[in-house]
Amino acid sequence: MKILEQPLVGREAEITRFQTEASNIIQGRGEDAFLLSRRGMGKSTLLQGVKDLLFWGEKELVPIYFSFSRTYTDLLDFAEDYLVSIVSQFLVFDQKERLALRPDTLTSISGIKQEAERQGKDVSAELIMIHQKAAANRDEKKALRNALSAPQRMAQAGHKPVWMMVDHIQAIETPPFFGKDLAGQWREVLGSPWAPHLFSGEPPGYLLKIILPAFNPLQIAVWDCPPLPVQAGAQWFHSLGEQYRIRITSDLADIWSGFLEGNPGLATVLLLDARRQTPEIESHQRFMACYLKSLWQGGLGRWFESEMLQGMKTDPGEGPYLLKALHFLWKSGETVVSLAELQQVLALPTRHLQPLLALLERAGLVRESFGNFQLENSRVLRDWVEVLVRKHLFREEAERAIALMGKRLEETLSFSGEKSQPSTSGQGLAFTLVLPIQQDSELVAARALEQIATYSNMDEAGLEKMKLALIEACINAREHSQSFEKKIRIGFAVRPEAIEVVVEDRGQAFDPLAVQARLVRNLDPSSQKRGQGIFLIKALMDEVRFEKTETGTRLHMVKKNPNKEQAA
Amino acid sequence: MTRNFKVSRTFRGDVVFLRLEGYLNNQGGEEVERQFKTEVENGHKKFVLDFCKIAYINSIGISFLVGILETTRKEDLRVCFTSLSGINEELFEMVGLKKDTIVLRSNEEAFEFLSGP
Repeated sequence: MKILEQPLVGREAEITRFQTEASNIIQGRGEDAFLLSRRGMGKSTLLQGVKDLLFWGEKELVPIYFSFSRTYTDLLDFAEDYLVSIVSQFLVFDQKERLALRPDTLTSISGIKQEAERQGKDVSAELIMIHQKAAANRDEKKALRNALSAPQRMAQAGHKPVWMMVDHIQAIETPPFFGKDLAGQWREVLGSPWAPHLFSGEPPGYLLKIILPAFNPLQIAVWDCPPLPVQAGAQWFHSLGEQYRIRITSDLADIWSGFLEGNPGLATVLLLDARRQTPEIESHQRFMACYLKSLWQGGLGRWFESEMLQGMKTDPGEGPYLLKALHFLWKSGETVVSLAELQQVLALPTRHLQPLLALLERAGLVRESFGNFQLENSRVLRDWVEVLVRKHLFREEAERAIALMGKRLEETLSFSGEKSQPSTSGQGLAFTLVLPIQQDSELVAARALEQIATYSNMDEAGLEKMKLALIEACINAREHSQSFEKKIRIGFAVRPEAIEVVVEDRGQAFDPLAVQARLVRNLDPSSQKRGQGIFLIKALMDEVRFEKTETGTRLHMVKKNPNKEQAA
Repeated sequence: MTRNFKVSRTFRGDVVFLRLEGYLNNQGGEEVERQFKTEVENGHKKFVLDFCKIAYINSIGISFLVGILETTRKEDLRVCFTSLSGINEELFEMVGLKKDTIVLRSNEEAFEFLSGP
C-alpha cells in the first residue's frame, strides 16, 4: 500500500500501526479500537494527519474523521452533525478534485442532500431522509440510530470499506449525553470488519474505568499514543520554534522538550506564549520565566483550565474543596492518599467527597487505585496544580509566587551544575566537568580525574580503581539514562581524607536494582555481552550511593585516602 | 579498528600473539574477538593475549574476554594472558576471570608454557 508517505514527526511506530490496520480493513479484517493517552500528546493531530494521508493516498478505503469539538444542545443536534460530517466526507472522497477545496458547501443537511442527488448516491439520500423524518417527529433515538449506522451502511452500499475515527470520545460523559447511554447505541454498530471504529480520548485511566466498559470491551483493542520520543521531540520543538520565529538553540530545545515530557500540546502552547513575550529565548532562565508566566497567567494556564476543567461543571461551593484536595495531593507528592485522609483534611462526608474526586479523575488530574488517590504523575501538571493552589487558595501575588517556584525549579533542574558538585565543607577543592554523551568520552573523565588527584596524595592503586569506577559510571549514565540533554555532569571534590565523585545525568532515571539484577545474570558467561558496571563500581569504591532525582540519576562515589595522616 | 584501540597479530611457531593496545571497550572487545575467531578458523590452537599496552578495560571489554575464554573451553584451545598491570589483574580477580585462565608475566614465559605438553 502506498499510503502515508509523509511521516508525522516522531510517529513512525504509530503510523506503521495505522498502515497495518488500514490494510486489514481493506481486506475485510478491520477491528474496532480505542486510542488513549494523556492530554496534549497529539492524538488529534495524529488522527487528522492519518485521515488526510489516507484520504489523498488511498482509493480503496474511505477515512472519516469526527470530533466532539462543539457543545450540542440535544441528541438530535448531535445526530445531525454526526450524519452531515460522515455523509459529506463520503461524498467528497469520490470527487476529491472537485469538492475537497470547497468543503463549506457540504456542512448542512440541505447541502449534502443536494450533492448526494447530484452524485446519485441513494444511500446518502436515504440516510438524510430518515434523519429529516426523525427530526420532524423529535425522535432522538431514531435519529441517533440512523446517524451511528451511517458508516456501516455507506460501506455496504459503496462497496468500499470505511474507517470511522471518532475523536474526544470522553465527551459522551458530559451533557447532553450523560445518562443517555450513547455508548450502548454505538455498541450496536460495532464489530463490522468493513466499517470499524477508532475512538480516541482521554484521560486514559478514566476512559478505561468508565467509558470503555460501556462499549464492548471484549471486542475493542486499546492503542496507546505515547509521548514523542526524546530526540524526535527535541527536533520537533526546535522546528516549531523556527515556524513561530522564536530563536531557540538546539540545546534548549533538547532540555525543554524533555522537561515537557514529549508532550507536543504543551510545547506548542508554551512556544506560542513565548512568542508574545520574546522573539529570542537565549537562556534556560529566560525559558523558565516564560514557562512560569505562561502557567500563571498565559497560554499554558488557559490550556489547562479549558482542557482539564472542561465538562467538570462544578457548583461554586465545590471550588474550595477541589482546591484543598488538590493541595493535599500535591503536598503528598508520590505518596498515595487514602479516602479517609482526604475526608479528614476536607472535613467532608464520603457521599460528598467521592463525586468531587470523580470530577478530578475525569479531568485527568487525579488517579485512583484501590481506593487510594494521587496526582497524575506529570511534571507540568503538578506545576499547574501548584499555580492553582497558590493563586486561588492562598491568593498569592504572581510575582512572588513565580519567583518562589522558579527558585525551586532551578534547583530541580540544577542547570548551573551545583547539584553535581559534591560538598567540600570548605576544606577542599571542587571541580565540575560536563561531558557530551559520545563514544569513549569516559576517557576524558578518567584523565581529568588523574589530573585532579594530583591535588591529593591518593595512592596510585586507589586512583586506578577510581578511574575504572568513573569509566563504569559514565557508561551507565550513557547507556541507561537516555539523557535528553545528551550530557553527563561530573563533580569532583578533593578533601584530605577522601576524593568524592558525583556523576549525574538528566534523562529517564534508571533503576540501579534492575541493572544489578541484570548484572547477576551477566556473571553467567553464557549471558549476553553486557557489563558488570555497578558491581565493579561498588567493588572499586569505598562508598557508593545512587539517587533517583526528578530529572534523572545521581551517583555518589567516595574513595578514602589511605594516606590521610600524611595529607593532614 | 577504533580510535582508542589497536590489536596487532604476530606468530611464533604455532602460537598466535595478540597484542592489545589502548582502551578495551565494546568496540575493542569486538575487534579482539573477531581476530581471535579468525585465527581459530585458520586452525590455530594456542594464543597469547598481551595486555602490556592496555590503558583501561571496561566491563563490556571484560565480557568479550569472557566470551573468548568460553570459546577456548569449547574448542579445546590454550590461551594465556600476559603483562597485566596491577589494577587489571585485580579487576580480573574481582570478576572471576583469573580462575579461568593462565596469567603470566611475559610473552616469553607464555611461549615456553604453550610450547610444553
